[in-house]
Amino acid sequence: MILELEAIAAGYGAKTVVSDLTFRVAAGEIVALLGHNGAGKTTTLKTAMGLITPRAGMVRLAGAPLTRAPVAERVARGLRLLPEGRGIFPDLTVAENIDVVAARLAGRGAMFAPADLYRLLPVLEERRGTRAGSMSGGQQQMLAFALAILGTPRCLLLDEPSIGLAPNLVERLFAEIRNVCRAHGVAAVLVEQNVAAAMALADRVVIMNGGRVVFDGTPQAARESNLWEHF
Amino acid sequence: MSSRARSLLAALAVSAALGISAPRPARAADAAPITFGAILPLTGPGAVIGTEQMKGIQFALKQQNAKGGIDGHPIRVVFEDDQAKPDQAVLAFNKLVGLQHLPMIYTAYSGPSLAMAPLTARKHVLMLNAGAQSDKLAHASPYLFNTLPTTADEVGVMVKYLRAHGKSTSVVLYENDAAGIGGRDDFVREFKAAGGKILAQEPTQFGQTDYRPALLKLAAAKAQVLFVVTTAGQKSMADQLHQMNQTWLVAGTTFMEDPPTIADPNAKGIIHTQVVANASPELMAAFKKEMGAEMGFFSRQYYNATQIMFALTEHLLKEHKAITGENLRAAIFQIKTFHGLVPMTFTTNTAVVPVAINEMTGGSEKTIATGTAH
Amino acid sequence: MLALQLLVNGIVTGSALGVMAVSFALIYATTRVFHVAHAGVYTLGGYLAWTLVHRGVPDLPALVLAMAGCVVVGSLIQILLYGPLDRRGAAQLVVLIASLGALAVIQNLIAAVYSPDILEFPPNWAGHVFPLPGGLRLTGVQIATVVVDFIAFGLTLAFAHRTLLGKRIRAVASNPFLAEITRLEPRRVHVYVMAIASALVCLPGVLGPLDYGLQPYGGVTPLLTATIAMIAGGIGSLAGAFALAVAIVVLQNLALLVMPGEWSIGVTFAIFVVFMLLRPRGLFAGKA
Ligand SMILES: Nc1ncnc2c1ncn2[C@@H]1O[C@H](COP(=O)(O)OP(=O)(O)O)[C@@H](O)[C@H]1O
Ligand SMILES: [Mg+2]
Repeated sequence: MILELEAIAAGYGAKTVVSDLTFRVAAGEIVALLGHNGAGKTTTLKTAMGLITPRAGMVRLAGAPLTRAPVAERVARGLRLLPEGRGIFPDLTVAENIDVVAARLAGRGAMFAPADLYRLLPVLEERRGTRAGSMSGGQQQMLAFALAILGTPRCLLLDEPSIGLAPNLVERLFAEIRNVCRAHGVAAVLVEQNVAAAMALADRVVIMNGGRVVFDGTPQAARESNLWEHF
Repeated sequence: MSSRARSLLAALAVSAALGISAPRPARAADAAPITFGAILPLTGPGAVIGTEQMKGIQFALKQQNAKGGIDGHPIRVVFEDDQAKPDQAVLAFNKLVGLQHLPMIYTAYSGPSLAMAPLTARKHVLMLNAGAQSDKLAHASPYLFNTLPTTADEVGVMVKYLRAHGKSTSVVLYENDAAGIGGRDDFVREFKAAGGKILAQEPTQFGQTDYRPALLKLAAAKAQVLFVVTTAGQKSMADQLHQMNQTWLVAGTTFMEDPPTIADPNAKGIIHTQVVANASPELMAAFKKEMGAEMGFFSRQYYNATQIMFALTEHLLKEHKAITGENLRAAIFQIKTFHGLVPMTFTTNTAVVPVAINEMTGGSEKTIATGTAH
Repeated sequence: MLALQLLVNGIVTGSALGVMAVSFALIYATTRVFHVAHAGVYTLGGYLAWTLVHRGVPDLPALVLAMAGCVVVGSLIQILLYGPLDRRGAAQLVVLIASLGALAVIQNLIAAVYSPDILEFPPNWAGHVFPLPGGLRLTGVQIATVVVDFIAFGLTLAFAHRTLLGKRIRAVASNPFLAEITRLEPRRVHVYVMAIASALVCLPGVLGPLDYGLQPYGGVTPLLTATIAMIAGGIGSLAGAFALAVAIVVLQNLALLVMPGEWSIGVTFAIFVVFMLLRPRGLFAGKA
């Protein structure tokens, strides 16, 4: 298992948003994390990342207990978050975005160095000198994805990466995700509103409702069960 | 003091200095202390000046009491802090006069002095001001006496000098507060009365030491004189004036008497009035040794005022009169001329004193004329 | 001639305020702290240099040492005050009040140690006058001010755009959340920014008093103009902050040709209001 959340309870202030949540991701596995708005998906990812300290439960990364470890340590161990809607530095150029993150995350022998990203996502190469915030939504999401995989990722936490993208761009982005995960054995947790596309990509589907896991199985099983009642 | 008493005291002073305890004159031990009050800003923004003033008084007391006081009476002064605030001054006044019945109070700043002035008239308490120069102080109360000339009187000396030297046009740079506006009004009035013309005026804010824009604008008026009434930032002004290379004569008030400005080569040629209150080098040295500070202008002023107070006390004791505010006030006009640090004559409540006109020489300064204010 | 000298004086003083505005903007954009205690660091720099010069230290080493002192104080404010408040999730208003407190402490300590009076540097090269073409006359310190401050501004821009640390600082300013999860260590960057900005503000903090003398409470008025320049120039734009600072001071100077000097502060606010009405996000704000 690359990532394990065990009996997690978490929330904001007095409010508990996620309770008794258990959730595992195997190395190289792509898990679609689905659920309606407010189900607690983002909260779950943030808890895994260490941005929220859980009230109860355990977080393990590649078997090592990291429940109270700082964000920086989890990042160093290969956990990466592509945050919902704000995955780039808009005031920096594309090249600056990549340089500044690479300097912190992509040392020698990294799985993805800047040169690899430019090869993988040629649109970034074309836009190197462009202010990131002035690019189209699709290009911004490509950059956000690039920043998320810089260095040596083991497990990607992708929070609605396709939001606001035209269907053909969603397809392109998902193709890149599949490519990175399959070719390099990187695991991913994919939070998506685009249920069909996510299920097509995923090895496993987890559905949340009211801060709890209500379904955990293969896409096949998800399709066979009356999945919509969970939403 | 008789010459016999004088030599006795001298002997005492010597033996005291040698550490020999000699029997004091019997009556010095018997005579009751005489106590006065002082209401000065000892904390707050005025504290630097207030402390300087206090030290002038304390030093004069130490000297006099070491000589056996006045006629054997030790002289005491109770100090109260008014933070240069009128309301605090009135509270302090009530404490010193209402509770302790002191007949004479030193005061310093214009605001507090003007607030206490009506009380001095009602309670018949003599008030000595050796620090403030507001024109209003001249007639504020029959019991309020000023050892400094008012700004109007001081400015009058400068105007007389300027007119005598053929200067007929002037511009004015003034600080936009009570002191600056008061000085400006005095100058404009006196200069016009003496037949001069004011071509322009520009204000500056207190502590705002970039005078260049205002000076440039004033220079455009092409006057023969630039009259300056600012209370701080004189050295910066001297540098900025020097930069402009103007032919006007720069004239200021006592506020120009600022050591860094005098030391500045760029200040060469600036003239200003200066109330004369010189102390001998020996006195300055003794003060420094005793008080641990230089004997600054305000220490000298309050030292001088304390000499006046000694003379008044001695006069009343000799005449066997009670030390009351009324008697002290009457004694001022009877004695009329005092010889503290400078000769000082009272024909009204404000002393007639010598006022010098000094010129900066770019490193130091020299007196180029002397007049009397009043 | 009058207009020209006013214009040039405005550019000189404006460049000093410009560096203050740039350093303040750098802090505000990165840490989101309205660091009014910056005025105290500015003032402290001048007093440190004054003390060293009076102890016989030559001018240039005195400036460098004063900058080092400002770096220490600025970093300590971040490490001991803003940092802990940030970790506790304090509201911006609370941090502002803490900053005001730090400013009061610095100013009152300076006033207690050095007296509240205006202190002057001893006469030196600063007051030397250089006649220039066109009837212009500039003093040594004016020339030093305009040269040093323009270079400092240029170097700051180059630093922000050309160096890795500069880019990292801009990244933290641009998206602090992403900076946190990409290991840019925003909290450490905040300390760097306070250190750099404190060193920067020490330049006008020393050169200004060479011209105008030192006052314990003398940093507040320049900071006011600097913050106005930052806001009108577009928060996050260093060039905007600098340009607006120069423009405001030049206009303050030139305004004197048509109105009395009492109104110069009014001119500052008038410029501010006009800018906020016409370009509420500031002149150089990004098109985010
Ligand atoms: N910062 C926050 N403070 C308080 N409540 C929050 C915060 N973020 C999210 N919530 C609440 O937590 C619940 C779950 O939110 P979230 O995890 O973002 O859901 P999802 O990502 O599944 O849409 C929602 O009710 C939301 O209102
Ligand atoms: Mg969400």
